[in-house]
Amino acid sequence: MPTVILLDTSLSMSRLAMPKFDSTSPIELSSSGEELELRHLAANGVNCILDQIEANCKLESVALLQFSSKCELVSTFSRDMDLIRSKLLSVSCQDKSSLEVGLKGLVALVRDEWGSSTPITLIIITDGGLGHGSYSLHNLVTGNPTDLRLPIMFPLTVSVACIGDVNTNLDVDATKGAYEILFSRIGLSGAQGTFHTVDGSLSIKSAETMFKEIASLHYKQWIGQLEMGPEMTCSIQVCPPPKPYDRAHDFEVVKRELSSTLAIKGFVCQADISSPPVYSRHLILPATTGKENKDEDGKSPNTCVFLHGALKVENMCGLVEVGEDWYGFIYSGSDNKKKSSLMLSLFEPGLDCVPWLGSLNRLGPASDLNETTHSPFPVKSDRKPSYSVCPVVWIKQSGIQSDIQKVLRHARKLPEKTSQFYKELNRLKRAAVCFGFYELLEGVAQICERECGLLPPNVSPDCAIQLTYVAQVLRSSDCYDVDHVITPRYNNFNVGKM
Amino acid sequence: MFPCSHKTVILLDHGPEFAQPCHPVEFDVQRARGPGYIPLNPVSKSVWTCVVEATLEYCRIVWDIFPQDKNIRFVVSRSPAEILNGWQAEHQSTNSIMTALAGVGRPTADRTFAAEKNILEGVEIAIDSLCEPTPRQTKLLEEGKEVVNRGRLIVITTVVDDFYRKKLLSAALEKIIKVNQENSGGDEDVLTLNNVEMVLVHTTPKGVEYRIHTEQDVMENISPLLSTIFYSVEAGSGLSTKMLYLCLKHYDLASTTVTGIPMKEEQNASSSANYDVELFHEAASHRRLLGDFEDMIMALSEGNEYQTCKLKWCTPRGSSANELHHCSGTFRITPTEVNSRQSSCLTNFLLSGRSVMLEMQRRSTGNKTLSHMLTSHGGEIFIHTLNSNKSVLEDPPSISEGPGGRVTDYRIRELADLIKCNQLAPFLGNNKDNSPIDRAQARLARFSKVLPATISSTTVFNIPVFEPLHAALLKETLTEEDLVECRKVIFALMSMEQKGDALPGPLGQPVTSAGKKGGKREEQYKVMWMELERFVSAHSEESPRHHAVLETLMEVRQKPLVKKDDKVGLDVALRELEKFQAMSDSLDRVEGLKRSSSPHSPGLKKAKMLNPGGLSVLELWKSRKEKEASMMHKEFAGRMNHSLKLYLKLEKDEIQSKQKQ
Repeated sequence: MPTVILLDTSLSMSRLAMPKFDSTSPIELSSSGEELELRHLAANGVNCILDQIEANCKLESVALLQFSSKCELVSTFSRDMDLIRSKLLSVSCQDKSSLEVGLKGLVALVRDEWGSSTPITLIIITDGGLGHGSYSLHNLVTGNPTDLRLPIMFPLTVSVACIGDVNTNLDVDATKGAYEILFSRIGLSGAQGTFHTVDGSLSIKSAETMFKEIASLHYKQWIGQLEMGPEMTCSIQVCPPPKPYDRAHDFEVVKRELSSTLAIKGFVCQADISSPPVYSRHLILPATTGKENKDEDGKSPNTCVFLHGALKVENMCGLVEVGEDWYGFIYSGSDNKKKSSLMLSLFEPGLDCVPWLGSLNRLGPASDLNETTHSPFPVKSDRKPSYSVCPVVWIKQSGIQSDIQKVLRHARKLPEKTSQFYKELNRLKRAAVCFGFYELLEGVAQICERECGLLPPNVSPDCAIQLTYVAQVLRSSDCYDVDHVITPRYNNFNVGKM
Repeated sequence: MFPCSHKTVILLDHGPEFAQPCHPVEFDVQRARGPGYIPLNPVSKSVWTCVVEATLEYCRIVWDIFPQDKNIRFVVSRSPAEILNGWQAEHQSTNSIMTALAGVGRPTADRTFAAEKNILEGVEIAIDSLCEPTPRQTKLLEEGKEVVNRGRLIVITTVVDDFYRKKLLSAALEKIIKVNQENSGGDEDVLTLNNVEMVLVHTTPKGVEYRIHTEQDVMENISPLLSTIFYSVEAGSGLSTKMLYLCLKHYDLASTTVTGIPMKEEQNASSSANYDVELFHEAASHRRLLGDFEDMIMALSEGNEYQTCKLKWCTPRGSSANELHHCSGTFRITPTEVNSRQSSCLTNFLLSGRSVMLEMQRRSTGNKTLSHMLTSHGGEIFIHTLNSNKSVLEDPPSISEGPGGRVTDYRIRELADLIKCNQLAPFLGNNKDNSPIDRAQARLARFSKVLPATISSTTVFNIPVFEPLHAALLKETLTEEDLVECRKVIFALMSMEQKGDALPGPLGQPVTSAGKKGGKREEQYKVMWMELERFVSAHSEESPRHHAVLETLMEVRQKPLVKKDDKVGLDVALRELEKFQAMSDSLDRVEGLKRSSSPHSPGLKKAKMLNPGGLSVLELWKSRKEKEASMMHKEFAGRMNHSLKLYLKLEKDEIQSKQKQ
């Protein structure tokens, strides 16, 4: 998932890392030979994180934002770490520290590029100053109204790298407390926000240790096994590394860890799985041993490639179990016609995450079924939604009118349409009784009587008989019983027509 | 985590106020039909009818969109107050509520009834019913999980004045405190109430004025246990609109209008016009896409109190439905006007199995993207939220660039067949059998036990003759016929070897040229037999008949059958042998012979095994042939026993006649 590095470039970042109390003491110099300032430590830390990303997460996009009283985009999202390293050199210190401005910049940047469903890793690098006045961190956490809309809409994981110690007048507890309040205000829960400080006194080494800690938190490779039966396994890397699932559902908080073995359970047609809702999507790469010659690697067969080929020709997906009651599916995905790769999409945890597949642990070998030509999917719902049962809705006048019209249309074609006529009539009657709309019963009785008088001469005498009879029944008190059904009146003209 | 929309009680006033007529309805068919046609006067709906219609519509929408866990109960306040349905799933349908309401009938205008007393009693009954656990809550309690019992109470009544409203609220609060005291015993049949949201909807016919100063649509917290919100509407269409607004608010729903749907005209089928259809669904469908609705083009829904988002219909092309779209959420929909011609035209189109993409225009940039898809699955219609933003996985490396990517002879066809044989389907058998998915996995494990990835890494899988044995051994159980078939395959392979038939080459092509060295062929057969042995022994523990195939193979190969306990040993030995074969492949025959004469070489051991008894070639061949023959048929009983007597009956008769004499 994309990373945004939010770099504090307030003037205080240009303080010396080790203030000279004693002019004779040796001082550490930055790589460019200047006296070591906090910003040098920060730049070094950014490089440290970029190194780790380059080594472990090749698909990671990184953007660099700097904030002071203004927020500036130093480098937009890119997978080219060298580009970001080169842009880093142009960062210089400005004025005051207005974190809210920085966060607003972040929100705008992410929304334009990734929308709101892509999880973002945010790394804030700061000297830990709370700032003053509006837009400062201090203002953000004291609960004053903010320009920034809180909580932040897209999923976010935040690490704060705080470069400072007693010598830079950092009150660690106060800063940590402030960031913790900030975490909860922007909508993070539990481990989604972490705060890191430098152990011991400030030096390139101690700062680097902190940045390595942060890097290892976010940019670990995910290496595991793809398994299709115990005899057919393959070591794989999953990119971006899947995060543990931790969300509050109705009635419970669902927490899941991805198991290190992705076990294929069976296969389903792409058409049957039919664009299901997925929680996250990943790329599966055959894990490289690293040591061997790349050329050699390409030539020895790999189960991933083998599986990908077969899934692709058949347009099939493999259903994989990835954790406790947690499933996903692997398939061949392609951005264009030439390139394709093995993809993994994870469902939300749970067995009923795709209604049309039914409960996932109730899926069994299709060979258990008798041979049938049509697909067993989608699993038919036993619910009857309103749009498939034609319920009576009379909130608008047109609803009543069209229902009455239907009855009359059939009335003119009696006795042929006897059953349709009574079906529509009883539907109407029942609804009127349920709604307590007794006036309508009288109204329909009147319409029936009037219709009698308007019948053209060529219709069957049955028309008049039934209409008169219906008008009479609609006025009787039996009608108010919901179970009462009006049945056709027998006469010489409709014999055999019912 | 515990939404109050899980439990809703709708309390309907059944007092005389609701018996008043409020809303004239032109029900007469409007077509003028010649002389004698006298238009009928409109009839009036009563307040009660309007209330029932509006609440049923509320329920229709909720139950269409949420398959479960959104429960609604009805309480009618009359003397005595009556609960119309329970929390159980079978009670949660508009049909059952309609039937119950028909039984209640409509209120009478008789003002001698104590309407106020009845409504207070209704509130108490409603709160009691909120204490009863839903099936879901019962299940959670049984599993020992936490339950926070929250609920919503919608009271639709005539609120005479602010004082009356206060009275209702304090009665509710008193009742909640009382039931909490009573129910705190830990009895699982009734729960305490953690929080109740009381929605007061005041409604009267047009023209009746009440002095109520309470602010509308503002939540007021009476106590941690009770909050309230107030609405005042005119009975009739105003009430329906308000209930629609509340439904969207209570269940966090959003409205989407699909615009520009081409439909055939009813009267003139050759021309088509564009129509709009409004739908409801969970607001998450739009929120997942954009975070909020800020960037969507919204318009006020006609005649309603909420906004609708306009998405443009994109006439479906080709088979986009079968494509796998990356979709971050799917949500059930329901049309706003379920019976309108346009709505049913759209729903029938979707229910028939077709799907359509919807296009969204962003307000900020004006960019148009395909943002949603409408389609049906198993009789229900869903809106899929597609991912219209940049993907993290954009431009991924091709699979052919990584390890194994340059291998060109994968046995794709064979794996594809395996995949087709291992498709999943919903298991329809015993409900208590919870292992269908594990059975599928076990089956897959069986199929993938020995599965060479490339054509060049296998010999036996490239021989067409082998196929019946392959197919048979993958079965869970073998029939006697399968067993015979397997044996036939083994013998066929043997006769191929004897005839000196060439085996398929490394790329699977049949080799016909006799130009190759005989030694090469011998090695090939050795490799083939080893591979076959590995395949057969891998499957030998499936069933006794599977094992019988292994027995046959070992017999014809004249190898001792290693017992199951020694299986590991066998595997090791096989691997050793394979290694040897790989080595000897590259050595020429003379060298191979030299090696086999060395007392320590594995080759020597193997030679011994091949001919344990030191028999002559003829004897070997004869015994093998006899064995082969004996496996092909069952020996006639008469040939098995040499001392059978014939004509037993004659002899018996003879003896008997002698005795008689």
